[in-house]
Amino acid sequence: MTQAAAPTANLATADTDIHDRLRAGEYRQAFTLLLPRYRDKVFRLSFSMLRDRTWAEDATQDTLLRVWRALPGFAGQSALSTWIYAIAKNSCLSELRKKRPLVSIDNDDEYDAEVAGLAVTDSDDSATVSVGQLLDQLPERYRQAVTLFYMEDKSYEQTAASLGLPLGTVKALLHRARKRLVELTRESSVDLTGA
Amino acid sequence: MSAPTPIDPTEAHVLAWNDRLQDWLDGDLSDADRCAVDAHLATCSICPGQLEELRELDTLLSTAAPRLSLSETFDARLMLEVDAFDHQQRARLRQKLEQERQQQLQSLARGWKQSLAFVVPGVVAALGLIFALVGSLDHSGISRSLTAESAGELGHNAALYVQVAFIALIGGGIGLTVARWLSSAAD
Repeated sequence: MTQAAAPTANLATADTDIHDRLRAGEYRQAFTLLLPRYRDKVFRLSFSMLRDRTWAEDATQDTLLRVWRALPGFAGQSALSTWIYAIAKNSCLSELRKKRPLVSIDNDDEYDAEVAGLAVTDSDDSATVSVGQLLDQLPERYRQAVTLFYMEDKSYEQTAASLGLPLGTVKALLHRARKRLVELTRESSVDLTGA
Repeated sequence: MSAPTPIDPTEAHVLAWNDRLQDWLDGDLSDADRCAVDAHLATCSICPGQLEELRELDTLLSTAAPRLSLSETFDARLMLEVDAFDHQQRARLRQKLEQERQQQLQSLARGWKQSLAFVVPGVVAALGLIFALVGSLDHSGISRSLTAESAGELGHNAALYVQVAFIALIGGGIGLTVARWLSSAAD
C-alpha cells in the first residue's frame, strides 16, 4: 500500500538562516547554505519541464547563477523557495522558447504533440519507455505534475512548492492525469505491470 | 434538439469514486473517510477493479520515475561561474571608483584655479583700498592723533609697528572678504 510522503517542513521558516545571512549582507554565506538545499529540487523541476538530463543540468546551473546575481536584490517579498522556483521555471521556459517561440505551459490543458516532442525521454528501459509514451500523450501541465510528483517521492507539498501552485490544484492535476493515464492504458492495452 | 446522451451507470460510478480512491491510495484521507472507502470497497463490484488499476499505475510511475543526480563536477563548475561573475563586478566597481576619483580631482583643480583667478584680483583690490584708507586717515589727521597717543605710551618705533599692524589687519580683513565673495560668485 502506498503511503503519503511526510509533510515537508514549513518552507517559509526553513530558510531563516539564509534570510539572516542576506539581511547581514553575507551573500556568499547565504548562497553556500542554499546551494545544497535547492540544487536537486531545481534540477528535478527543470527535468520535469525539459525531460533531458543534460539540458536540465545546464538549466539548473543557469538558474543558480541567476539566483546568485539577484541575491542582493532579494528583499524577502516572497518565500525564498518560491522565488528560486520561479527563476527556475522562467529559465526553463526561456530554453524551451529557443526551440519553439510560442511555447506556454501554464494554461495549456490540451495535449500538444509539438511541446511533447521538444524534450526527449532519457531512458531505454522498457517500462520507462512505456510510461514515457503514455506521459507524452498527456497535456503538458498534467505531465509535468505527474513527473515531478513521482520524482519528489510523492510529496504533494514539494510538488506544489516547485510548481508554484496551490496544493489543491496539484492534487486535481494529479488525479486528472492518473485518470487519463488509466484510460490510455486501456486504449493501448499497455501492461501496467511493466512486463 | 437531440436528447442528451444518457451516462453509463458504471462510468458514472467510476467517475464518482475515482478521486476518493486516489486519495485512499495516497494515504490522503482522514480515518473516517478511509473507513467509509474501505466499507464501500467491501461491497462494490466496480471499485476494487478500478483501485487495482490505479495501484498498478502508481507502482509503474514510481518505478519509472527517473532517479537523477547532478554530475559530481556541478558545484565546482557553478562556483567557477560565480567567481568569474564576482571578478567582473569588482573590475566594474574599480573602474567606476577610478572615474569618480578623476572627476573629483578635476573638480578640485578647477576650484583652485578659480580661487587663484579671483583671489589675486581680490588682494590687489584690497591693497588699493588700504592705500586709499591710509591716505584718507592721514588727510583727516586721525592716524596722526592715534600714533601720537601710542608714541606717548609705547615709544616712536612701537607706534610705527602699531600703525603697520592696524593697517595690515584692516587690509587683510577686507582682502579676505573680497576674495571669498569673488570665489563663491565664481562657483
